[in-house]
Amino acid sequence: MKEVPPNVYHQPIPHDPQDRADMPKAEKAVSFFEKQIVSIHNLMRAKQQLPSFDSVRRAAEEIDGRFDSQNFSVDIPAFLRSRLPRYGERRVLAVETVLCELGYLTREELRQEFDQANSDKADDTASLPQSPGSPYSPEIDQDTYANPSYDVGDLVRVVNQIKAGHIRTPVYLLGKQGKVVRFQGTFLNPEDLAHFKPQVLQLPLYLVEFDMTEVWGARCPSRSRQDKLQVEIYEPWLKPIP
Amino acid sequence: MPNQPEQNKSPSEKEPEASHDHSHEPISDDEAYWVQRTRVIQTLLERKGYFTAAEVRQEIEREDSVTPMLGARLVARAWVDPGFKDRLLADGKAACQEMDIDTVEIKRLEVVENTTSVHHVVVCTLCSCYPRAILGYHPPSWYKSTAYRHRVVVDPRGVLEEEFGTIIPDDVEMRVMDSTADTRYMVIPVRPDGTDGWDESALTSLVNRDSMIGVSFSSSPDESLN
Repeated sequence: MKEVPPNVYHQPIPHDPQDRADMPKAEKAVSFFEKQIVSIHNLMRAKQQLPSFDSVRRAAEEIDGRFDSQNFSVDIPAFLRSRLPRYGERRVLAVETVLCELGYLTREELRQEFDQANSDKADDTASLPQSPGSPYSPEIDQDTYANPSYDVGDLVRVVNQIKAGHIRTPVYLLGKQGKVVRFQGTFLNPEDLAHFKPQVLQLPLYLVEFDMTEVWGARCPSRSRQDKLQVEIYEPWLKPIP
Repeated sequence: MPNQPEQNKSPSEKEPEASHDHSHEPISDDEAYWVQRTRVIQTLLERKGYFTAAEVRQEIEREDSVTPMLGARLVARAWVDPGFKDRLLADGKAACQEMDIDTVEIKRLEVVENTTSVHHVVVCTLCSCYPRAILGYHPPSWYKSTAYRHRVVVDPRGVLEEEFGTIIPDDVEMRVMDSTADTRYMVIPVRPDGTDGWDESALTSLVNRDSMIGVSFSSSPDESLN
């Protein structure tokens, strides 16, 4: 099982505070293929064939980058290249990517089977031996962050630097000051899991409260000057404020 | 929330495998393309023995059976039983277990309470994290939209008023919970006036999905009689 380092076309999730777009009013019925891919993904996680969700999130972020840069190493037919994939479609591509990375499927098999299904040949359903367990079993580092550094009430600042690959700190909070309001426990670092790192940090996670005025400055609507944002932040993303 | 609509039957369910009489032109229709691409993934993994078609079908059925009714039961119980509410606020997963609600996929469930002084609203600006095991496996379209994810953290009062007709009084603090990490959030809305003496199951009917995300209030008794 190889680590998957950040791809050049990986994009952190952007946040556009000036967005004024309307929200979809109609609640669209979920397509069957979307239910199917979600169920396959959840089933394989429940059977511990697939690791945590984080790698699929990371793969989904790469997909938008691939479309933006028109970098189609995944098989995307011409008629789909002119728009970003929709929610369920992105999920199909992300799950497929992770299944290939973990060795469950190969691109060649997928291509062949797709063409075969399209030309309607009979399936050759020879059964292969089942391989147990997830191919990804990292070593857990419980020592580096064994003692949480912050207490409830501490003032903290979010590190003001983006890092490559999948991150779980929203970009709109970079450099912002907040207050620890709760200790949430320790969790495996999703940023390590997302890239199949061989070593995964077990990290303290804090609920941090931010004043809306601190986060948005002049953009903060006057009616929200007393309002708050509460966001969970993993310890390496925080710096103490003396 | 109504049950899942009928039109979600897969093409392969409508048309038995044996009766393949479609044309063999290359696929150029979006939906058909994704249906086939997904079916290819399932077929290959089935053939390799990772799961059976029946297992996938059962999982789809299980996920379809999870509706916001589960969340509504938690809220109604919390409204009538202060001890339960305390336990729900302290440890969401343990309280769910008391009510035989399976939250195995949620690592940490935090239940927050809306009151006359604070109003919580939930978003995930990074993807679409959502307490699926208690509100349903497929969040509403607006919850997944970039518009909601971009706007609600900047102007929560504007979004609630303009998009949902929910007006939060000026003297109520708004707290936007951005679920970016391992916790999933569910909101206990304020119990509606005029429900003194209502029993738990009657109260359940007043708890709507959007009120457990925090974009609306629980329904009033008058609305529910209509």
